Amino acid sequence: MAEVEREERAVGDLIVAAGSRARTLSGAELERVLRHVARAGFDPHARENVRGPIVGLTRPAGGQVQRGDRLPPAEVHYLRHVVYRQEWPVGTTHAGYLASIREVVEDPASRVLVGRYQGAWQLSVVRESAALRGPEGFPLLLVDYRVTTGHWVTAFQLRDGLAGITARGREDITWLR
Amino acid sequence: MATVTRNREEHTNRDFDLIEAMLDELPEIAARWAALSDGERASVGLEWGNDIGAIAQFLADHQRGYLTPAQEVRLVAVLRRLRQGRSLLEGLGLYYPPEAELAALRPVEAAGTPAGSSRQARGRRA
Repeated sequence: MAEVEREERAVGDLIVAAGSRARTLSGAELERVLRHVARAGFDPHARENVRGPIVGLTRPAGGQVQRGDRLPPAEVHYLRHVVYRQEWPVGTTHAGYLASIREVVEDPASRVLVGRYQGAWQLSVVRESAALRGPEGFPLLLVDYRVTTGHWVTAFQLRDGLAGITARGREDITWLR
Repeated sequence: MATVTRNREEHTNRDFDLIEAMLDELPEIAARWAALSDGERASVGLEWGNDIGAIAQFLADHQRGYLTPAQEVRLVAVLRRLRQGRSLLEGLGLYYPPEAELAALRPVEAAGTPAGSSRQARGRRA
């Protein structure tokens, strides 16, 4: 098994252990988890159906999004949250969006929680949007990492603050930091 | 790349667009739900859980008289479609707002012909 896969599995085990309250993560373990999550990115091999109003937008590499397209999640979420919703500052590039997510995960000021969503464990990182808040952004920014995929699921700014995390279908939430 | 800042009316319209698009696509999403990857199902659910928070903002805007007549019409339609889609949403494990939250909007729904109701309410308060 490749080193990356071993680390992904080890980190997943730590997240599940923390979420199920089988154990409390040490500071070093939490740092290990976050280091992995920051680098995990969106799944480059996955594809998501384009949905709703991102149809017709210009893709980062050129060309228009067509109805029925299946695009990499990194692109779908960029088009949705940066280009369409303007949650990030005007002018944020695709690479800038991804870099900002890593920045939030690595920021010691970010809060960290684990919980289950649709039955699977996720680690979520929440921080003030601050300079990442665009003209139609919100005060808090959320990054979700899903253990089953080993990648980010989404990253957006929370319309309803922390209530948008705790009251929308997530279960067994434990705050780690 | 985003290039403009939108005004309040356009911002609200964008929120309506997002929710209406989801409601439009809900039957199709439900039909292929089992074939979606775990990651895409989670993505759909988490995004919807965030977007649907706009309902509370619509209510606040309605009460303050900020919605345009056209937006009042959209609000009534969205609420009806939301109720119609409830079993589908809940069947997929997607968020459905608490009845207590939606109850505050029942008068809007009951009015049925809401065009201008927000502005009329504002006029009455003035």
